[in-house]
Amino acid sequence: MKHVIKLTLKEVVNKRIIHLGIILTLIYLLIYGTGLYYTVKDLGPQGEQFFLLQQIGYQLLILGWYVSTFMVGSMAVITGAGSISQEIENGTILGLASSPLKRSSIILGKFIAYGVVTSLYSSILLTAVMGLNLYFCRLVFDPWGAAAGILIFMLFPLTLLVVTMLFSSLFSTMTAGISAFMVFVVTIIGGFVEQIGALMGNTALINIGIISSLLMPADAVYRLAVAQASSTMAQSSIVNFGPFGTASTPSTLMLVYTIVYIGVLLSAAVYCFEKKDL
Amino acid sequence: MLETEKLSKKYEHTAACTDICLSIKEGQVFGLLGPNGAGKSTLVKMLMGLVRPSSGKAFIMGQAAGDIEVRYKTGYLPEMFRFYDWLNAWELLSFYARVYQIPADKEKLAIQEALELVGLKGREKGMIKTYSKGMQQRLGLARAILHQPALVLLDEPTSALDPLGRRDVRDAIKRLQQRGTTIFLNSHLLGEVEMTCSHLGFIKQGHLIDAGPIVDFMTKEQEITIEVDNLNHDLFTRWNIEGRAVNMNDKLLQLKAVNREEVPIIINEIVRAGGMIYRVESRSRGLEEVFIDLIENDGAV
Repeated sequence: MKHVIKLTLKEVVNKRIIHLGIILTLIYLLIYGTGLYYTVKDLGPQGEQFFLLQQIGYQLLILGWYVSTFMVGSMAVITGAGSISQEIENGTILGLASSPLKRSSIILGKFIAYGVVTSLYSSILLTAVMGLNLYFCRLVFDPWGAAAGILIFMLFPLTLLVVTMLFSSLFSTMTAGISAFMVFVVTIIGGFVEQIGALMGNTALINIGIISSLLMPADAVYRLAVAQASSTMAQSSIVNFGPFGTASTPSTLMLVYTIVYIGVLLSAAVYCFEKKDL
Repeated sequence: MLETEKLSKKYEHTAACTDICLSIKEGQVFGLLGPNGAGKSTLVKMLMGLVRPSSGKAFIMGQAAGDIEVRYKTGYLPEMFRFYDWLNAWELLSFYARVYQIPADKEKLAIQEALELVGLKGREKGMIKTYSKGMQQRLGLARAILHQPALVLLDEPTSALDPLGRRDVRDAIKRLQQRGTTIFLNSHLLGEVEMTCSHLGFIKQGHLIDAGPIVDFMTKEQEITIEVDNLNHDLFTRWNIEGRAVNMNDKLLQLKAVNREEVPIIINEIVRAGGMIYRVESRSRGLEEVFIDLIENDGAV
């Protein structure tokens, strides 16, 4: 398996789309930082306006995290979509699968390598977003709470990655990518509906969100990460108010569910790949 | 070395291979011939564990084909060869050397030997994406033989090569055979097979219709030309009835579909019937004739 991990990491380093993703991420951070700069410049860090700045700063922080989910999600789908299917389509899998490597090692090796890359990417991105807010808006938060939030958030790309890799072991690259992204969108909408339901006190809407989280717990992981990170923030109640926040916080059992979910889907991907004629 | 027992692969609407029974002994160079879509690649993929058989069994060196242990002793060049083009040839072979658990102190030598055998020495630092299709095919062959397997399965190993490249691959196969490597070769190129293989198999619509030593196919059903005078007409009539496609032109008698063992018998019959023989020439059929006869005239399976 270690050979597949090394090879996959080398592949990631050489992928042009990854290079493009990194450039786009830097552009995103530049735009985000510029936005924060002008917000601070207009409000100024004095008196009542400082309180307003803190409130806006927290909202922008959560907005930054939320936008980051799309970037991290896209990265996970892009890397996972072709992980198996593209190798089948272009024939490189024949060399790998005819060697003494077990098919399960191929899947697990790729998952570990892509998982490390996307988790690392997500933690760097979220840290950068927090760092920019810390610098411009001088937000007050406990670094350990924020780190715990980022750690929880690392499960976010893994849930997307495992779904995408399962699809990749079943379908073509295009179908796998589109299907995974559609599932991602469904869970995002489900998360929105759940938050609105919580604000309205509507149980039916909350249940819709819970069902979509069971389908794919990515949004629940995001909400849990935000809840963890914002719990130590002075203005966390403001953060919680809104569709990007945690008006309805998922149970911590969702973390256990997410880990089991990743394990089950990874086993399904291995099973499908082992049964596949190449 | 390689045995299959009623090995079959059926897809939803078609049967790619049906009840293939094959036996290849150690050291043989076995060529599998058949038209496009006959099931050649599917058979090789089943032997490599890439395609799951619908029924039947396959054994390599006494173990189930596709087992991890067997793969250590088997090399494979797929027909649709493609490699990670963001690596160079050395990096690719180094990766596979580790996968095949070649000891670190022998890795360099193994890679150098493989590259030399396929004529890629000196080009190993070039990125694979800059390689021509022919060079990639050579690299595929190098990958297949890198770990010095006892059995090498080559699926159309010369399809992308020019005549010089084909000669190099032929030479490589001969050197492998000298090492004692057993080779299973799928090819459309009859000339290549004729020059390389010791044994042949013919596959049509997923059925193995014939298999055996190449010399048997070549000497079976020869064509003989006899310069003869005073030929007994009854013999002529009988050969026609036996379907030997007789032709008599001036004093030249041409007989087709004659086995090597039958030649002296026919000559004896002519002489005993009062015929005067001045010259006898026999011509073995080319592999192309054998192939066309078996594949085209054997009728639907």
